[in-house]
Amino acid sequence: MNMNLLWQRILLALACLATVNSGFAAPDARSVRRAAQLLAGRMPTDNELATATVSDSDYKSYVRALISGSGFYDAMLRYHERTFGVGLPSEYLDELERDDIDGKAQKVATLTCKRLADNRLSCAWKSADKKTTTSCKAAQQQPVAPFWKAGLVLWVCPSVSTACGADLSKCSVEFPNSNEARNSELGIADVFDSKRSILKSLSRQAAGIATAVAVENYPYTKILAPGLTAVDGILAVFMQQNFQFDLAKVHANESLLSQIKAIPADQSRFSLVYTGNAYETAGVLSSFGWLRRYEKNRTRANQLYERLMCRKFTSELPRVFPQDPGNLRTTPGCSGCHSTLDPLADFFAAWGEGGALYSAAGAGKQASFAGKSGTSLADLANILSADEAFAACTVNHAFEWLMGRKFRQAESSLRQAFTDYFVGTNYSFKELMYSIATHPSFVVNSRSDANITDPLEQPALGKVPEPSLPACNTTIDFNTHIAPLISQCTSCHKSGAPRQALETSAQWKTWGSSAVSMMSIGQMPPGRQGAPTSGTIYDLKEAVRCWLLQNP
Amino acid sequence: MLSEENEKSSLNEIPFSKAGSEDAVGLAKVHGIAFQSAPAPVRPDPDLYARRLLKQFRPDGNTLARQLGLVEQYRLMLGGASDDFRTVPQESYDATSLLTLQKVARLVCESLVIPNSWQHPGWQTVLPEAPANVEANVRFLMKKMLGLPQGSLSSDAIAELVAIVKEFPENSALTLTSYVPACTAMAMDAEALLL
Repeated sequence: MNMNLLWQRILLALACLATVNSGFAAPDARSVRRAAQLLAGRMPTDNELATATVSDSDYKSYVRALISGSGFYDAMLRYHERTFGVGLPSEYLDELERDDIDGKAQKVATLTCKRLADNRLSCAWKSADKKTTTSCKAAQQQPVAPFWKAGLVLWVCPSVSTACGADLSKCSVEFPNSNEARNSELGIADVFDSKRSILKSLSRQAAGIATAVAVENYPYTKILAPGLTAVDGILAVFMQQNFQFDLAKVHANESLLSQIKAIPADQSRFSLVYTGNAYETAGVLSSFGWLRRYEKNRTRANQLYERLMCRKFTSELPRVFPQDPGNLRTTPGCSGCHSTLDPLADFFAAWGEGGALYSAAGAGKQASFAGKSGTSLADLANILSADEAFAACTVNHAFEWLMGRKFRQAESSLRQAFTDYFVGTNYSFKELMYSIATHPSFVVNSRSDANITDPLEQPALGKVPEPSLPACNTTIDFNTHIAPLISQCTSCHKSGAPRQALETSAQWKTWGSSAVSMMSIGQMPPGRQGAPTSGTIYDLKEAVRCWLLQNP
Repeated sequence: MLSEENEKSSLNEIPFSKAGSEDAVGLAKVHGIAFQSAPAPVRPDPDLYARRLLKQFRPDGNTLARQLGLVEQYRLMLGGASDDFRTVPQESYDATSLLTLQKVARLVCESLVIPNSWQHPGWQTVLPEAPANVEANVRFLMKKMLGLPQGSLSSDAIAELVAIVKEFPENSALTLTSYVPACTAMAMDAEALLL
């Protein structure tokens, strides 16, 4: 085939295809296709195109069906992978291998599997010198049903099935064709690669938490909930290989290890797992993938500032860097960023950095962000999720995903309206997506430039997202209205306890604003089920809010 | 082994109440504020595009995984994410990107239109009609690859693609191979052009 001719013809055809845009007869069909691609990761069927383009309400019903359908999980997992930038180099799994049993470094029992001349798929031990060894004759091999694909039969020596289990879930598995193995999805192919699969699941765990929260329609603030994580089948298998991996290094506590036995090995989707309130954890922020991907505390702080709050550290650098800048938080030219960045980074102090992750577990530091203080990741999660910038940033990301462009400068009221709606639905991510994908301006038949030269400014910090607060008609007295209710907090927040004491009016004066923020979105007290709308916590929150307003 | 241990286990209930549902009044308020400009064209996700396109026609399995492995090496040049998200993918669109895109589109199209038993065991051509029935085959490919309803297919575009097919006969006759250039043209950024 003449390549030059081929190339010319392809370019001509592309130009011709492009003209389809201007003459597209049914404007709504474009929106249907776009919605199907972005919300479900597929093209619409003929029937869907026909029905969804009949009327506005049919289109809305179609979008609702997409958001409720199975494809929404896959689309949102990809969305969160991109939003969080998750991913890990392959060597990071080596760090998790045990070397503390008998002093020998290599503890992972690896099987290599390949199809033999008789078309049998066979797995054998991989020896330390990387050569595959078999210790039995073909006639002695036994069939096993591996966990990664139903109906598949593999042949192994008796020693293998004894050590690795009848579904081989206790051992690591390799296939010689790495390209094929890396692109095989769980449950569909004969080939399987343990290392690749475990790393892929570990690295996308943060995205899995956020996706599961969104798909199950929990408030999106719960992506930062202490004690909440998510596990898929591969991670469930991995976490039961405690003789091969040091699971303390992925912070797998007893509750988690007990619960994951309920997750089938071939489950490709993440399930939420709640292990009880734990101050050192904060949903995506304490997942192994996030902490290891962003190795240093300053990097973690910087990334969450950018990815969760849509804010960037920018500063005029000094013309000449001092040889010894001293305290970066106060040195001119450095403090512009570091006075915010470093106290924010201190929230991660308990976790250790780089390969020493978890080595410093428990040693918290006094830290602060956006005018609020704390010592743990749970405190940080409360501060972040109680700030309207978190909601506005989520709106930013969702808008950009669906619209293909950022907000423009003149669209601040639009972003505020979406943010209010998001907060008003108690942070329903599904409703946020629905509100954008059904917006009259989304359903248009024209396209604009993706490069925005007048972008909307970054969300402001420090605003509490409560769109409709009741008026403070009663004059609040601390002793009369607040003191009788603070026992809701003082079982943990008392003198001598690790938490900030909240026993006196002076302490409430200092910390009341933070407490109101946390109570407003259901983060405090621990174990609350959503934002309070009535009851003692609601009364306490409102009393403190009004008391602070009346006594600035 | 998970099933052999026969342990009864279950996931703890998630102790959070669910988020809210549609609020018609609030939604009307949001929808009352117009955007300043229309949506921008969406570029297909290079990490998923080849997989999604192939999965429209092919079953999951080893052959699909192997085929995806073939185009894997080009993913970064098309703006795809690296496994560790550390290598910055190419963001700009230049001649290399275009050539890469053509290569990927061609590999995908060959596996769809002229699969061979060595590289694609068990796969048959996706074309529904004999090679001589060019318009029917082109319409089929356009509908599947561009996601357009039959009635929306542009007659100009169909005519152009039919002409391309006819320009590449083998031994004076149209064969499956004749469809590869037209298929490649459709696969190249079709979504970006039309979404």
